[in-house]
Amino acid sequence: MSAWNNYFYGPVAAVRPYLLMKVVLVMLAFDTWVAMAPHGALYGVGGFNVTHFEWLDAIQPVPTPAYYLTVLLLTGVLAMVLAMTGMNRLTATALFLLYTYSWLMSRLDMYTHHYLISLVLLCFIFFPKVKASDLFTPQGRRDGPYTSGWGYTLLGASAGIVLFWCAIAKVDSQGR
Amino acid sequence: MGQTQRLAKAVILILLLYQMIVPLEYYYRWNFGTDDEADERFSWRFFSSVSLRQCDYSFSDRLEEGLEPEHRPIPLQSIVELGSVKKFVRSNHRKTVEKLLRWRCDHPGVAEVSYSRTGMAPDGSPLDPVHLIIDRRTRTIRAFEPPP
Repeated sequence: MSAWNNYFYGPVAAVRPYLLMKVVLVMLAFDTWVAMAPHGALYGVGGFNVTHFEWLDAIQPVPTPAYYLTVLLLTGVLAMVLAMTGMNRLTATALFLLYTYSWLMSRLDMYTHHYLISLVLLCFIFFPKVKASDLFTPQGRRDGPYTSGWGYTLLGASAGIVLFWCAIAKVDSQGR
Repeated sequence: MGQTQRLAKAVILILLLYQMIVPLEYYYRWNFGTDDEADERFSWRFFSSVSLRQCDYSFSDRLEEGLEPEHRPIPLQSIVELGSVKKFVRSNHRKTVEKLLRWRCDHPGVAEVSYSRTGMAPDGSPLDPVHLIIDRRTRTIRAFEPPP
C-alpha cells in the first residue's frame, strides 16, 4: 500500500470521527444562535454592505437583520438536527454552504475561525458514515471497531496546513 | 484504481492545493506592493505586524448647499464603526474603502467624500499616508494632497 493510500484510506478508530462530528455540530448550532446572532442588527444599516468577494456583491441582495438571522437560524437548526440524527453527503453539503454563506455575505464578519469551521464542514462532507451502533466492540475483541474515510484524514492534513501558515506568519519579527 | 477512488484522489489534491495556495496570495500582494497589501483574510496571520499597526482614519463628506436637514444622509461614521468594517478601514483595505466612498457618493445631496489614513508600524516607523477623494460629478476615486 502506498503512503498515500496508507494515510488517506488507513484504519481509523470509528469513535473518533463519530465524536468529532457530534461535538462540532452541537457547538456550531450554539455558536450561530448565541455568538453570531447578536450581530444581526448591524446588517444592512444605511443600505451598505461589502461581501468578502466582489462576485457575491453582484448577485446577492443587501443583507438585512432578518435575512442574516434567517440564514443563521437555518444553519443552527440543521446542525443540531444532523448532530442528533446523523448526516449524509447532501445534508453535509447544505450545512457547509449555509454556514459559509452566513459569514461570506458581509465583511462585518471577518472572524478567521469561521473560515476554519467552513474547512471542517467541507471535510465533514467526506467523513465516513458511522452510527452509534457501529461503535461497540465485538465480543472477544480487545480493540474497538475501525472505519476508513479520507474526509477524516483530510481534516488532519488541513489542520497541518493551517498550522504551517500560522508558523510562517510568526517569522515576521514585528508580529506578536 | 476504481473511478470513485480516482475522483476522491482528485478532490483531495484540489482541496490540499487550494489550502496551500490561498495564503500565498497575501505574501504575493505584500511583496509586490499592490493596493490591498493589508488584506490578511484567508492567510492565517494572527497578531501580525499588519494588525498591530496603530492607525488613525477619517472620513468626511461635503453636502450640497441648501440641503434640508431631513434630507441629510445618516452620519458616515455610524456605518464605518460597524463590526469588522472599522478594521478594514483602519488598515486601508482598498476595496472596502472604495466601496464606502462610492456608496456614500451615491447618496442624494452628497457632493464629495474623502478618506484619510495615517499611522505607524509596530516598530514606530511611519506608514505612507493615504488620502482618497471622490466627487459626484466624475465618480472617480483619486488621491489628493491635503492642505498643510
